[in-house]
Amino acid sequence: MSDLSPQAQALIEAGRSEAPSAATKLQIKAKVLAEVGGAAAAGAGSASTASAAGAGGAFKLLATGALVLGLSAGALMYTNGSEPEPEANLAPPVASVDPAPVAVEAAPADPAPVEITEPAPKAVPAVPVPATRVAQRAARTPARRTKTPGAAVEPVKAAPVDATRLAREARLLKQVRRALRDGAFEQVLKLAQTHEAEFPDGALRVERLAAQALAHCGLGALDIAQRHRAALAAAAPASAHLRRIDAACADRAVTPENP
Amino acid sequence: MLASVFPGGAAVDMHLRPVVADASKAAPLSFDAVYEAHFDFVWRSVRRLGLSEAAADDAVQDVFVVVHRRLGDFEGRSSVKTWLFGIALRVVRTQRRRAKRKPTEALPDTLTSQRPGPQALSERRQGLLILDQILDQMDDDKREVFVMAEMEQLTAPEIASVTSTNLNTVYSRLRAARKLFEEAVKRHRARDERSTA
Repeated sequence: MSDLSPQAQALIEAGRSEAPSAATKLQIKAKVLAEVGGAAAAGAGSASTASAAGAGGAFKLLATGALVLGLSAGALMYTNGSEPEPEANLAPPVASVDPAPVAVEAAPADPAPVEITEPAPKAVPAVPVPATRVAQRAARTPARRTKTPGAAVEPVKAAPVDATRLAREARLLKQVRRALRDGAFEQVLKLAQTHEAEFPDGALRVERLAAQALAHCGLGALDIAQRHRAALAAAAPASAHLRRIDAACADRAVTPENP
Repeated sequence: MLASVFPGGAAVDMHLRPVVADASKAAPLSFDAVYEAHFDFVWRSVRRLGLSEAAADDAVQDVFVVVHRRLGDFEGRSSVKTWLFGIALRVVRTQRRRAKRKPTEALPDTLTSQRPGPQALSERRQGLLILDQILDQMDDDKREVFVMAEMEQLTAPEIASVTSTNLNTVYSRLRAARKLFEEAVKRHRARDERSTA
């Protein structure tokens, strides 16, 4: 390789030996496929990856659970006006590497909310995970930042992933998103209460807390919004939702209730 | 000296070209195959280019989203690995710029303070920590070249292609990066010896 000292080479070797876990690999693949192709592809991809990795059904469940989490959270982010990051600048400088037209197309600018529909029938037969039509960049979620072993992990205390439960949660959160998008903040809070009662420690609790905070901000109830934000920060300290909430609440800082 | 750093085509190609790269000559690459063969490489590369483990997950996802969309356009004129590294490098650069624009995205103190201390880290973890600390001391250009050459053993022409620079620049940056690396390793050793004395 080179004439670096043995000590330097030992450090380099340590770097070469670092590898993410199989679960991380599956989760990221599920998110990639969700982002580019929707649930059918994601399910098939997850299944094939699990097979290739020698993983069992638990991994599939994990991956699809992460998918649902990512979609829901990502959709929440986009329903309040957040623009997806343009991808044009992700194009690799490959013109000189491979003259093939590998420059990346710009991502659609449409930050349309994710539609979560009914279960994908065949992609992962054993796991009736909701099928999805995915918005671009849907997976910028707290969940995607928490899955790497050894990383600073957000202490999200979600119940064990259960596909049916996730599907029900996702449906409910879909309604929450729609209400949030429509500015129907009272409806958001009502639906969130339903979710809280039914899934107090649900897998989508973080998304619910974000929606509640945003809705209260929308209604000008900043104190209550702040409480939900604090709960969210405790559950997911690195959540991207926190910034959105701060921005949304800052816009509402001067209201009749909070002069 | 530089010739030993870049031992040349055949040997390097054996290392760089996985089954999928060879398969590209006969059949279109499948996303699954590329993902399976190169996921670790991409993840490791974005880590060594300076992203945290959590940020690495995001970056790797971005990389493979691009791969998924552009794989059909890949004609195999470069190795898959070089192509992937080019994408990864672009993604990492984008994340760096974003992080500079949004300093609030840095990990909060509560998270960094939860990291185990040196005593709790395994020897390998300590090695990784030191490695990243040393790499952090390099500017981006040198770091990128160093990672490609020393960590991933890309050839100088490949690095020049990926970074859109000329060969002499690659050699120059690598020479400087290796010097910095060695000096930093020596400083680490000296500190260790002082602390254990």
